[in-house]
Amino acid sequence: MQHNKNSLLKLFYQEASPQEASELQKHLTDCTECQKYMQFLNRMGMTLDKLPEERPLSNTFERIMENIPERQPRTAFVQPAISAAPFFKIAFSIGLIVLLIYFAQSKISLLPIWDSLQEFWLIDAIGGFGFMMLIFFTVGTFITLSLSPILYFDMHRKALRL
Amino acid sequence: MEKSSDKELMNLVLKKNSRAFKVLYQRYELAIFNFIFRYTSSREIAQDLLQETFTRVWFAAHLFDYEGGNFRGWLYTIALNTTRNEMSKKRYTYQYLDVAEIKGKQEPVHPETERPDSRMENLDLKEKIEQALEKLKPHFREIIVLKHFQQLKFKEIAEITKTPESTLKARFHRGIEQLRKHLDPKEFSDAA
Repeated sequence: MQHNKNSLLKLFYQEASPQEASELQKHLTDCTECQKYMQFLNRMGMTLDKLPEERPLSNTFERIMENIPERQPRTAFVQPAISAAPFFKIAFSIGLIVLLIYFAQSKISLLPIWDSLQEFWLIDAIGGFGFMMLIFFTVGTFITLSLSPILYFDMHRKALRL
Repeated sequence: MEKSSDKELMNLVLKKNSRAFKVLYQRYELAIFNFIFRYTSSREIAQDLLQETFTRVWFAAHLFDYEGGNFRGWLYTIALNTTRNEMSKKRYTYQYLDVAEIKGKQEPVHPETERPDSRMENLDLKEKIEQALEKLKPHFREIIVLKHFQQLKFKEIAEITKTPESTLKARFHRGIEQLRKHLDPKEFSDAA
């Protein structure tokens, strides 16, 4: 059997299985190196055991319970609530996007490829405004999908914190 | 209620039952207090962090795994994270004392008191061990405190610290070796 400090540690702290323990005991009778390490662990253990057990203040539990009501309203405060602010923000963003598309559609007809694009029945049907909307939302969807793994992992990382 | 299992009590804590919470507190206060005290070497910090740990248990009761979870391990994880967070704040600095400084305080000893335990009794043994523990790097102190003082199994410590058992054992060997040097380099020189 090889000298294995980890096994000796298991033996010392009584974590070795009965079979492992008997093999180690057998090895210990012949191996002076391992005997020395076991003696060292014994001496260190005995030294550390001389530290007395300490006691916290007797009123600690009362102090914990006194502290709890102070924190509870804070958790109640962060309960989800309906706020008007997001609706205004969404309406403002939609307005801004529509305005942007409206101005962009007048420029689209200046592009040299516009005439050839109009030959497609879909472009012909939706017109310049619809075409710009299509471009805008395709790009938007693409960006959102690209970022979604990052957003997903970030959200879970925060949720896993205790 | 005193005879209820940890899980049964935690189920009651989840329903904000303070009596069940008190039973759990009384069951683990000494273990957690001593763990934090040995880790931080400060009674005041240990007192504050003991309160913080149990306050977190109260508020995070819904996060405990009621199916297969081990309450003791979960509690130690909270205590360890709370302590690590607190000690990582810049306002605390670990005190690394000079070995010579400690040795300088030693009184002359007789040859018959050469054994470290009897010798240290003359030198305020408690203080000397505490100083030696304090001088250890946090990850060495952590494993020695959890293993030797708290008597947790390596498997449990691995789950609490999210560290492989082999790494923990290697840290224990190195930690105990450093502790030996800090305690009494001459006496233990032939041991390890």
